[in-house]
Amino acid sequence: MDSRLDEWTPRVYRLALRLSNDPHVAEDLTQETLLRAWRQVHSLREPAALRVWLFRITTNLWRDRLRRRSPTAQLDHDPPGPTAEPGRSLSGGEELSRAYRAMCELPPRQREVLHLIACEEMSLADVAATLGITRESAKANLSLARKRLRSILEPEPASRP
Amino acid sequence: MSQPCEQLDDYLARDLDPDHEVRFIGHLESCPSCRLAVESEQRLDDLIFEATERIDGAPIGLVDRVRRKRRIQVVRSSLSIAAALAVAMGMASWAWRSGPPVSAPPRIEIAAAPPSQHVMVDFEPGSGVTGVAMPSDSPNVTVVMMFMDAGSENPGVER
Repeated sequence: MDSRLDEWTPRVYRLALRLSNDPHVAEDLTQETLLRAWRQVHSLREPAALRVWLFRITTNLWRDRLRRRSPTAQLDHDPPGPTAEPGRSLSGGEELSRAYRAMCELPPRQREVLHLIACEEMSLADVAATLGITRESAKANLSLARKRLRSILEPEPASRP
Repeated sequence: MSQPCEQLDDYLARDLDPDHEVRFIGHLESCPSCRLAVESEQRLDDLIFEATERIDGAPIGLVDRVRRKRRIQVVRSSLSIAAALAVAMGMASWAWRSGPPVSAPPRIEIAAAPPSQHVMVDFEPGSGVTGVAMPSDSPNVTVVMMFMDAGSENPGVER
């Protein structure tokens, strides 16, 4: 586990950020996930399933946090956006920035499914297993997420009178 | 619409098994409408991927912080095990020193009599033991022979 920490930390962090939309919470979730995984890695029967197993831990930890929060608490924060990482330059800047913001503003489930499909290139079955939802639900959320993103990023040209 | 085209949604959702996926990729070469749809979704996914990669970098030092916490976790775990072992060894040592529980020996009452005569000794009632004082060479020493009663009816010694 230690040798793969460099590889997994950013990936777990990104998922945690998609789930929480909050960099501080995402960092906590990442640490908790990796420490728990370290303790329980002996229970992982199939090494090939490491990614689903690890992301499942992150998802469960996030759900636990949501349950502990007061019902009136705001669940989603403002997306960190490009300004959250000062010093980083965006080549291709505006388009990437818009895409990122658009993704952060998606409803949580759509955002999570899209992240796992587009960024992790997971199969739909693995996405469903990671998030604890049905394949049908994952598929529907993916379709809605893409449709919504397209409507933001590729607006229909206004029809002329 | 041909049958492969009906698998477009499943392909875009990564819901095709490997065999069907390979077949559908072959189909893309001959179907411009499916190819267009796939390329469009792929561009969108690539944009999301790139934006995420560039913007969502893990905070600097996060990996080191995880490693440090893990070390603390391991040390705490080792200390817990060491403490548990120390307690277990302490208890074992105490039990070994104490030995098995010892009950008080039955109290002996010796009847006053000259040391030259046989003396009947009675233990506490119900102890099932009879002691007989025997003469010895020393006036200060009395040897007591002890007999276990076979039964209360037949003590085995003359009273």
